Amino acid sequence: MSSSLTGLIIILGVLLIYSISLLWQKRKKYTDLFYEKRSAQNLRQQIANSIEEGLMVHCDICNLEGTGTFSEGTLTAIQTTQKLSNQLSSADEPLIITSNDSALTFFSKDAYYQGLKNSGLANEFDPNQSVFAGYSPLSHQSGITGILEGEVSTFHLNIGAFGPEIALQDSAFDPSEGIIAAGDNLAAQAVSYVTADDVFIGEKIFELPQIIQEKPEMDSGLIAMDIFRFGIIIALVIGAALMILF
Amino acid sequence: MMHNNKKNWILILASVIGILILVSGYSDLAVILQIRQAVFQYTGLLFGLIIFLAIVDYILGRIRNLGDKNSSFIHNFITIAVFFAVLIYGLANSFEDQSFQNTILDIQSSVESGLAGLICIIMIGGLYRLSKFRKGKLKTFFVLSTIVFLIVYSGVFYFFPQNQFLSTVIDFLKALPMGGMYGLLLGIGIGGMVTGIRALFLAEHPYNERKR
Repeated sequence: MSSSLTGLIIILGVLLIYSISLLWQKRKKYTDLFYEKRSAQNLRQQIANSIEEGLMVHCDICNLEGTGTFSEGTLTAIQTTQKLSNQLSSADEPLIITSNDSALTFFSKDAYYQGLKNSGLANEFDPNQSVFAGYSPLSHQSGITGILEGEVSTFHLNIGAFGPEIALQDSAFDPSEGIIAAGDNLAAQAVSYVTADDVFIGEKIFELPQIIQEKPEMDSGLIAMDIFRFGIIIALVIGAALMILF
Repeated sequence: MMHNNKKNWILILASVIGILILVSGYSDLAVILQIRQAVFQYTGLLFGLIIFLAIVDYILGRIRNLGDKNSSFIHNFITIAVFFAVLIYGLANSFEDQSFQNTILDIQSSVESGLAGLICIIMIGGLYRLSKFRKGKLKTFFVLSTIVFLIVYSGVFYFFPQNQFLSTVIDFLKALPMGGMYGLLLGIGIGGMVTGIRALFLAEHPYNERKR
């Protein structure tokens, strides 16, 4: 047996809270538990702006270099791509996706197609909208700059396991183009705080596919995540108080 | 209708395999461990095939774009030329060939060193702009903490006489980032677990839009 019993208890706990959230997701008092973040509102606003102004949206997906597997952050990125593609299907300029992994480019292309298909616009699919842009972190950023040369985007949404090299985007793109960072790398999160316009940190990264849609408070997974977040905060405060007292 | 049923069966099969892999972490049963091994082997093969198809698809895309007026001709041409040059060189010499690896490494490291230097300059410029133009409590705290930690880790306090109170304050400041790091890791853990459970129990996944 390779995993601990505590891990199993935590998994079952998450499953239980998630099941309760599924049952109660339509009760007003329960949906009020959802905590709407400003960064989520800003992102929805940026998507609306891109449709209104007829400008492109760029989404970059990064996987951990050389691991050969996809992280949870990457799965979230693919889901977000599909939902963005769905929302921007009627926009003048299509969504452009870049990634640092050839297999990921393949999956993001499929997610882009599925998003268009869900809105009945599968014929609008252009396979060249999902591009592989460099393997190593720095060559990936320089690859993005080359691919997007001469293009104007409303915002650049970076999701996944990118590192501090995200700072290069600050000088590569026009100041009017927003840079949004949602990465699970700690150094990247600190750098993004300086160079990006909006940062999704910690568990906020995993909320991305749901918060770009209308009524995110109706999503049971987000409420379950909020319950866990506040549960852990309360537990940490009680734990710290008990340590001081005894 | 039939297409939907077929899709559902594939999803159920994927979910069952996922749950089985999860259970295998808590079981010593030989059958479950064998199944896990087989699934991992099959996934590795499938992944290799997908990567091969993705590379072929990528190069075909670049060739298609050569005649596209909206696409950069130079970018596409250089990509194709470099790909075929590396392919021919790689087939003619083995991949382990030292001169082949050195050539690629030399090109990559010279470009990347320049980019790494650029990151440093951008960070300094970014911090200046953050402090001057982007207002907000959190941004102010970020700039303040950067300044405080630059001073703390500069070693300037070693020149002052030993002081118990000052040492306690510095030790507390040095421990603070660890707290933040644990907080972020906890957040990533919660998010990853909920996302995993949603995917495993078919509540959400990339290829089946859930109706609200």
